Amino acid sequence: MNSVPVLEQDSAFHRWVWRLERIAWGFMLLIVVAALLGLFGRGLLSHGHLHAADGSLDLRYDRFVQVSSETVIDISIPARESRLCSLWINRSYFDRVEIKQMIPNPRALELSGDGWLYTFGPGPAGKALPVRLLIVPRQAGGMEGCVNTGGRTTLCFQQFVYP
Amino acid sequence: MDAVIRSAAMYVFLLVIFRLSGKRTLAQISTFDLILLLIVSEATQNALIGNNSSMTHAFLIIVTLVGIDIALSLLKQRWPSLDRWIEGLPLAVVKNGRPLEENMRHARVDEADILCAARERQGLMSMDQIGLAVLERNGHISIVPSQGPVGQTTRQ
Repeated sequence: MNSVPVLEQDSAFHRWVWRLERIAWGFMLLIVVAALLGLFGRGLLSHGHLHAADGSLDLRYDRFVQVSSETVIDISIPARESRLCSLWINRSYFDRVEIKQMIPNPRALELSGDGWLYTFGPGPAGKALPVRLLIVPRQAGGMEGCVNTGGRTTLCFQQFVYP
Repeated sequence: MDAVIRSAAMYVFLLVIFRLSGKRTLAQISTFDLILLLIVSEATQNALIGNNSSMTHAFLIIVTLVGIDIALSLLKQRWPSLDRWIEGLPLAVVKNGRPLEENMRHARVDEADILCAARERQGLMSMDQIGLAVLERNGHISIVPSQGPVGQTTRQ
């Protein structure tokens, strides 16, 4: 006679697991929605915009970025007719990121206080000089960058880097 | 240190995500499921390797992953209850030719999946030829042909 198959069944355990699965699915959906909104970078929640009250500086950046993933910082330096434009960035920010490219290329770079001072050519007449930094964060966690264009105002921005 | 932490984090993450996605995700029932697993493996590789393609980095990743696997198997031996939470339990989906609708619904298994397994594994053509169909822990469906009384023990 054939042996009778035996199967261990635990309905309570299965119900527990099914409940956990559905909670997990809801959580996954929340993560996807949050990602679409930019909580993990490049989206509505991530867009950051700072503007100096004296008009000396305009800064656009991503609040949320990821390690080893390129991100862009756009800085508008007010035009100074026939005068060189300068941009100062704190050195501690550079300790945590790698600058892949700076557009336009600066004419000069020198250490100034606890930051680096970049010098660019004169901007277009009557218009702000747009400077774009392509950076790659190297360390996870929070970081703060500060920029100044020679005016009284220093703008500081916070970014969170996901691992 | 980075290699070990990344490897451990990815192992735990994949363990949890696949455990909570349900058994059928593991079974590769359709072309899309296979594509999903291929893409997951690519994404995992990129996260583990990063910019470091050295042999040392690869060795560390492999040793960490194998080590965690061994540790987990030892823990499951020591605490059998851990095994059921990590691996799950087999789930009956057909008994004596009758589909167990609630179990099938929760496990996201339909009659077509069961009949496919029945044809592939036992050459059976209809539901009433199936004595017991079980969704195993690995996501596959095993079939016991109808041979007479099918018994089961239930944990109290």
